[in-house]
Amino acid sequence: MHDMDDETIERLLTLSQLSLDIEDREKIRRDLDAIIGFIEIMDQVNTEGVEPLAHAVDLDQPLRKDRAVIDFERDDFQSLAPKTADGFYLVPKVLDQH
Amino acid sequence: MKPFIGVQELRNDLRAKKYSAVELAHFYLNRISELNGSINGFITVDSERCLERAALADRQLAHSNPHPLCGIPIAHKDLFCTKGVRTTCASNMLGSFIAPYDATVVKQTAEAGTVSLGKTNMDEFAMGSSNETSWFGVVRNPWNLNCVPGGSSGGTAASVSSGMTPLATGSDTGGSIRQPASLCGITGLKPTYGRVSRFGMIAFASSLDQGGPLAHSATDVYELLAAMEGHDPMDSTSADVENTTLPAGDRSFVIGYPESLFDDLDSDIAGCIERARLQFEALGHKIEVVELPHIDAAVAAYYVISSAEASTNLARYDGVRYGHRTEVSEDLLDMYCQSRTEGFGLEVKRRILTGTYSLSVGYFDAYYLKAQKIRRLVRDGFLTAFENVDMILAPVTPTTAFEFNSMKADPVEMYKQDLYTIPVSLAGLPALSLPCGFVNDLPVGMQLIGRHFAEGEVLAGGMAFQDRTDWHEHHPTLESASAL
Repeated sequence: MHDMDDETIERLLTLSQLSLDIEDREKIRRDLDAIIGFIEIMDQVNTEGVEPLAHAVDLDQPLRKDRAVIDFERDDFQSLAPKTADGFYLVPKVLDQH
Repeated sequence: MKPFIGVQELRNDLRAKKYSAVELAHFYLNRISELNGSINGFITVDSERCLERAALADRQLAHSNPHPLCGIPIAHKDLFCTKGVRTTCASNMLGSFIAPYDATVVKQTAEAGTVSLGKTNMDEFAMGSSNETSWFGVVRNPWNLNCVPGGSSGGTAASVSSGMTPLATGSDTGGSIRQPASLCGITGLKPTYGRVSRFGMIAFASSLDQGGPLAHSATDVYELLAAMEGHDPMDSTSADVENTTLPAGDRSFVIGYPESLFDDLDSDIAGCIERARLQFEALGHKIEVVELPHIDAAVAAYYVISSAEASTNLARYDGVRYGHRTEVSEDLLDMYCQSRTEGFGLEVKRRILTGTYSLSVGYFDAYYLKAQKIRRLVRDGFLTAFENVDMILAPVTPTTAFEFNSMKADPVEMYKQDLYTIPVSLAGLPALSLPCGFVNDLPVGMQLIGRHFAEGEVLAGGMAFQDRTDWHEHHPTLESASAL
């Protein structure tokens, strides 16, 4: 049985850039315990000598021709951003002025 | 005009000028107005553009050689980007996102003359098996409004099933086309990974996601697949293979029957599929028992792989370039964190956290790499079975449509809903989900699983079955839906 402790949950939240209120945090802790317990069924399968498989279909990944194509306009994409100015994306200040 | 008409009849009627494409679009828009309040299959109905496109289709129909789907209404799952019409992925994160381009699937189906009615509801970011996680509210099953339609393409399946559209697109990562098709009594195809372009289809788990068609019959699914498939230079995982063709003549197939999958299956559902098996034998196909190893472990491996890929894919939602951004934040990191916390629902957060866990230091080998090794064993199990059979007949779901909230509290129980669909997804194979009976007035589906890129064979198998049976011609009465 797993014990998803507070420290682990905190680390996962930091890595994922998420936060949870107390109620959701407790629910997620229980759920992750159950999920991790469930996925350990994988241990019952002998995978010695088996190569990992990242994609099920063996596909070539051909490169496109190295040719400039104007499919999209920069302004169209930037107009989706919550905050922009003079063609730049605006975010809260990263470095303190001092 | 009446709902539940197949593509062939719609095409004949349009060409015989029984009604125009504009009149047909009005018919479906009216039906959506009547039913969507209770079904909630659509997130966005695009009446204005729909009627413009229908008028264009009428002009094309007046000339020679219009495309076979010219003037036929369609709906797109709300994870296919549509230029000028919002694409939400059923998430608050993308609640007001308007894509600046069309997904290849949207572009190709529009070029084929289909008339888009709008965008269908789904589980948030396609994560779910019940369509209970949508930011835009649950979708109700047209056969019983107290039951879920399945997920994640639940809005798509419920919209087709209730006759709000004759054709629709969906996507399948671990069963998201086949399971809702089964619970709603319609036909849906998960194509081979790489058959249909993923360009402009919002990513959940990139090594598994695959768009596909849903409709009332295998014949209609085939017609829509023809408009969706094809190599796309904009998707590097799109396969450069011949388009789907049906095998010539009345071919008899060797159909694999994985007996062990039926051991724990509800006996009434198993009975429906057993009768379908007998029907296939009566049609001259040969049945052979096959073994599919590691099915239970496949579900676990799938949740490791898909959550890991989701945690990576969804890292892009940071409130900077598009999507939801918090109003209140102290600094840059806090802005990322608050925007994501406000934008994502709990199931999406659970998957991101699960994925982050399995990819983190100390767990990568035990979970992620182990899952990828099991993925190979599962795929090789299918390839071995296909040495002796042309396709495999299997259940789609362990139960018929279940009631709202009956599984929501237990994510592991919900994940097990996909027991029969997930192995196929891990192996990247095509599978057709089609109706084969009823249990307690709720539809039961089965799936025909084919070799890689053998969509033509499973579609031919489905068409042969539907030629001799009428399960796909049963439709919900919707009396209570209209009354709401």
